[in-house]
Amino acid sequence: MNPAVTTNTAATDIVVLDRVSFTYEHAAQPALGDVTLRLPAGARIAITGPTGAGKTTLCMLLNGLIPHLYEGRLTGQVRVAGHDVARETVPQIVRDVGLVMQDPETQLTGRTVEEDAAVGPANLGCPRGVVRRRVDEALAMVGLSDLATRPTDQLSGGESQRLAIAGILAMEPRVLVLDEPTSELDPAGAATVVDLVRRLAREQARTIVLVGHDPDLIAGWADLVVVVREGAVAFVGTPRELYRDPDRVCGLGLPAPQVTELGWRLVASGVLPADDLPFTLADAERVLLPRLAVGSTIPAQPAVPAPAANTSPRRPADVRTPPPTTPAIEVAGLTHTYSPGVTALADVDLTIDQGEFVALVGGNGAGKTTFAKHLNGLLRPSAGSVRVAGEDIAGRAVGELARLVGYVFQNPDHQIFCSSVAEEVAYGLRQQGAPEDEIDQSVARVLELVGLSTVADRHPFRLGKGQRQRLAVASVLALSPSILVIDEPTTGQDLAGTRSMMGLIDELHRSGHTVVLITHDMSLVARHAKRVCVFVDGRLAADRTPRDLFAQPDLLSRACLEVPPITRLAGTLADKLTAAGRPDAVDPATLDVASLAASLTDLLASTDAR
Amino acid sequence: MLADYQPADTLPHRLDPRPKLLAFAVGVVAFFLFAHPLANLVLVVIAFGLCAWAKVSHRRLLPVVVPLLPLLVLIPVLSAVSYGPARFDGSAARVLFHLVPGTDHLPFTVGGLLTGCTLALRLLGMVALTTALTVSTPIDGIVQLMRKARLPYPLTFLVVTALRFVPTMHRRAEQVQDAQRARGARLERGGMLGRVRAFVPVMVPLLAESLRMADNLAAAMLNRGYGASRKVASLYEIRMRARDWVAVAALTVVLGAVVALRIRWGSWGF
Repeated sequence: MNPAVTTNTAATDIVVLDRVSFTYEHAAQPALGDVTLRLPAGARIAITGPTGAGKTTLCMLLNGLIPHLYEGRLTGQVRVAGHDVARETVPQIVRDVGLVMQDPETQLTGRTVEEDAAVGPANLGCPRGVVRRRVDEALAMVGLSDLATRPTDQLSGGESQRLAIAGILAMEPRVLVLDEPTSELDPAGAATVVDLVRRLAREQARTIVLVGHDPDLIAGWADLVVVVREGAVAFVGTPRELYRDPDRVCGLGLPAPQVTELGWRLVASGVLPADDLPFTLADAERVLLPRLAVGSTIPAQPAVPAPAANTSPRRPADVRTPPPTTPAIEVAGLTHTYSPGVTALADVDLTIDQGEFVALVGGNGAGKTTFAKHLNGLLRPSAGSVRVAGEDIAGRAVGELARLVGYVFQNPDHQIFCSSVAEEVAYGLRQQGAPEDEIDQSVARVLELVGLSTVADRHPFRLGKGQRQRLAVASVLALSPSILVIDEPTTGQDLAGTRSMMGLIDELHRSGHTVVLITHDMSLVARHAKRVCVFVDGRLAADRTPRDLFAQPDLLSRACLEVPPITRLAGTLADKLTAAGRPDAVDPATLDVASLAASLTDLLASTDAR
Repeated sequence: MLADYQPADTLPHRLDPRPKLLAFAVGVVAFFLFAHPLANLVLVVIAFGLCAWAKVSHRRLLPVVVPLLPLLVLIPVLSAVSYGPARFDGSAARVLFHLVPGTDHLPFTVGGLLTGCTLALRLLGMVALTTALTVSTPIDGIVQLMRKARLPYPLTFLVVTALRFVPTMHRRAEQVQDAQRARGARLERGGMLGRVRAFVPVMVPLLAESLRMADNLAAAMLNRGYGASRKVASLYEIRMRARDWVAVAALTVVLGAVVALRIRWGSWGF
């Protein structure tokens, strides 16, 4: 705890929680236990912590949804923007405290963008003229003025969430609470929302409380971080105070900014003083460039497409020795047209060998999901062919193809319907008419594989989100497909959830499965995939190793992809070093913290010696 | 049905929803003022004429009318055998034959047949009138109408929200179907029983999902100040123009004429 922040005078605190505990009706454990917290007015506050720690409960407590909509036992005092939350009604509190929730789809109630933004101020009783002005201002603020008359069901995820924020902004709250506003969005949509949050904080004098997991956003944006863990406040302080100490960050189960992880290593090996630990990319450049003796004295060079000349034109397929077996997937001239004039995929050729780990990346609507849905027949080609294990799949039913290609969807709740975990896994095989003893064996094998054996008889809805996702994987694995297509498996998961899911996928890959991973997350690509296919506007724009891809920032930006901060730092350092006559000192396409730390340790040590 | 709006540039599209609703009401009244099938047939022709005026396409109309056809045959037949001859006077009381031959059971009466034809034509006419109205009126217009009619705000809100979630639920249903098929489900496998069985793995996740959405929606409504004020402004307001007043006047004349006809010549009963 940071006493300087928590013992501030009450006059400037807009949120005051005094020994607050809350237990949901029918729950055995309190969701929040004895929380005391003071948040200063006008500050940018980040709340973080593992899934299920009580962050959402805390948010709903701030505008009175708890205890007025979600009932339970509340003790202690909650005062937000002058309102006594337990005594006043939600309609009174929401005039000053706005809450944006995770799922954008259920937050929009209007038919068109402007009608939806008008709902809040209209409900507050504003006359039409005022409603009009507030709607226009709010839409301008979130960048949706051009879409004012568009029906809300035609918005992308990112646009929907920005509209949800506009709907709350139009009510002009003094405190804006955003509960994981990016957790249900693809990273491209998430990036637009993050941009908006950063801008809001600069332009407005209001207090913003943001719940989220992204360490780079927290480090660069927040004035104050609150870490919630198991229903209690485990830390309050500035981002610097939090991320300074590796043991504390790991102990709290939090991810740290990649540049800070790099800094920890450099500090540990004695080449960087602890006071210069970087927290943002800008920090890292500021402390590292002068030390590498390539500081501001060297003019910035235009980004060179690195050693592209000798590596990038080669496709990984040319590098490998020819595979001895038939390829897992052969796609030739694949074109898909949804309706006349709307081409989602244009003339895609792609061969994936057995046992490969391929990532399909690209922005929203670039065609990667459309492509993947052709692999198990959910979509049929408008032109071209798809061969799986050497056979053309035209005319074969999806249910039949499920034995060759397993497709794991993003949201496990779209398929769970049985009353036990084991039944859920058995469903596909039953549908295929498999004999009972084969079903029993497969279910046991698959549950063992995904680590759900101990909960085989449990009701699926009583599992946590991470376990439900494993169940979805298990129900696909039951049919023993050798190819797995996995769509965005880590969206909205915390560090532990992401690690556990990706660990499972790595394990399946090692056990011989061909893995096709659809993702927007470049750090996942860097860490797990051996080959990456980039989709841009329905075409396959690139097909290479992650290393080669990261050496091409122009291609990445064309595909609306974000490079991991560590790779961006490596790129900048390599450019400056090359300009200073030291090429090859740093690999510009570094994918992980450890290898950049190793080369920087050597460089810094030798610079010091000189 | 309500979400059937099809943009086009016709007079029915340009009219304010209020004269259109009046037209609909006049149509309904006319159907019920006359009992003879011939009068109703004329009205049905007019109703389909309105559909043509509003440029309702065949693709819109056929899926609505075709499923009605068995009903349109069944209603006159059932009606013919369910009224006894004692219910009618004169020629209408004539019994053409008995449905059970050689007995007095289930007499097939002319009056019953005519009554049935009237009922069937009224049904067809209502469908045509409703289609003409919904195809030419956007939901916003209908909602505005509900507000103008001073229907309680919660009711209006309910309709708007329900309409707003139709495409969402449709999309969710497709996602659930894809997910089930991708793990081996054979939803398209035939037979009545098979279809019903295939329903469960789609409906259960969909139901769970809609409960979760309803829960979220309740929270979202409160977040947006639902219930904070009784007076809720709307962004736009429908306004009666000259052509709308002309339409109202014309419709009033039509209503008067229809009522006069009825008084002058009776209901054309039999």
